[in-house]
Amino acid sequence: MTRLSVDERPPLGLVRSSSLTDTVYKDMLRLIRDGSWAPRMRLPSEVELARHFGISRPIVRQALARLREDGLIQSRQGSGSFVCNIEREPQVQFPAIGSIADLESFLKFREGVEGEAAAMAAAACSDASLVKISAAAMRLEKTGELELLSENDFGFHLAIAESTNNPFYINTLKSLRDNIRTGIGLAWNFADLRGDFLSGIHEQHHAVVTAIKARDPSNARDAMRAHLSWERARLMGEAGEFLTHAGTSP
Amino acid sequence: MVALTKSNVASPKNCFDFRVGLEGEAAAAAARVRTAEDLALLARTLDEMEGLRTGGQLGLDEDFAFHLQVARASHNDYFVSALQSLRESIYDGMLLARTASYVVLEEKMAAINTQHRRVYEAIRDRNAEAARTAMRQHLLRCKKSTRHWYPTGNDLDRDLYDQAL
Repeated sequence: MTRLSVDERPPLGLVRSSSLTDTVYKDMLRLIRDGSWAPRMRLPSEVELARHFGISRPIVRQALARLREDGLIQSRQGSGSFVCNIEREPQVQFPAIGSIADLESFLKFREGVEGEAAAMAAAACSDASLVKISAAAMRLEKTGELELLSENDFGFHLAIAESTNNPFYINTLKSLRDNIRTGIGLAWNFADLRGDFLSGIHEQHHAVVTAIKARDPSNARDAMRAHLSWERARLMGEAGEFLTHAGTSP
Repeated sequence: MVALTKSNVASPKNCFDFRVGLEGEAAAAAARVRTAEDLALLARTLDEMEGLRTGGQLGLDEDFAFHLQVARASHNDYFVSALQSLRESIYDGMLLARTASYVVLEEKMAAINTQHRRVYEAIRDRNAEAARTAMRQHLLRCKKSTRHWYPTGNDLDRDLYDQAL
């Protein structure tokens, strides 16, 4: 078949609508990405959009539906469609751990947040995420040196956060990286802590993985909370001893 | 440029899901360690919001103030920093919860106040479990009222909290 010249090509309306929707959708995506359609901005009306892109309203609606599915725009009753506030990922700032008391608060905080993340993972994470979580647990089990220990422990907890597909969990964990490493580092300073502390951690991580694999949100939550509260109890216990022996009252 | 996918979206749904764990824990901690002053401040934020009953005001500042005060009452700086960092997203969610359904605003506000009061009473009574449950239920109800505006598909199919209410 010979190619049609420019003048002979069919008018737009006759082009396959799925590829046209695709094109328009990508154009709109570009407008959102480069900020021309800014967060919280109200989109032009369907009529205006149809005119601007030179397409029919049904195509506009299809493209908008895709953006809505992506979570990039949302519609409000009677007000039209708005660009979602996505210009930056949620940034969560945390104070550094400066004392044993801070460490305790920090672990209590983690209990609430990460318990919930584990439950969400159990409920809805993909099989691919599950593989990553198991792999991260195994990687930690094979680790010996301190520097890698804290990195790989963090890696396990991060894998669970990532499996939720929720940027709030993911960014919170990432923001906690330094604090988590400080915590493990501190634990390592308490001499009696190493042997069974480590095996305790492995056992508990395993319990979390098992619950997530079993798709049991309630048990996953409990297992993660138990893990973090055990860690807290050990560290507070050891910290108390450590401070007593050092001649300071806790 | 960062690729935009569902997982990058700081959507109201994601924010509420995150807050359930965070603020449930903060409320439980507040129930355990709050002082009399903390409680008095919490009562005041409650009264300020209840005082907005008529006039069509949305009470976003007052609502956020209540949640922040619960976090302060936990005496745990991590809960407080988390809430403060997420302030903008939280406001987006609060606005949507009020405007995104067919329920009349006054009824919405009344429901929010009732739920806040339940949290307050559990903290007053030093009942950590009740405080956690009351806070979780409050957030899940707010999230539920924004449901019409969720992306379709997987998010709804496998929502962990579907059975929670």
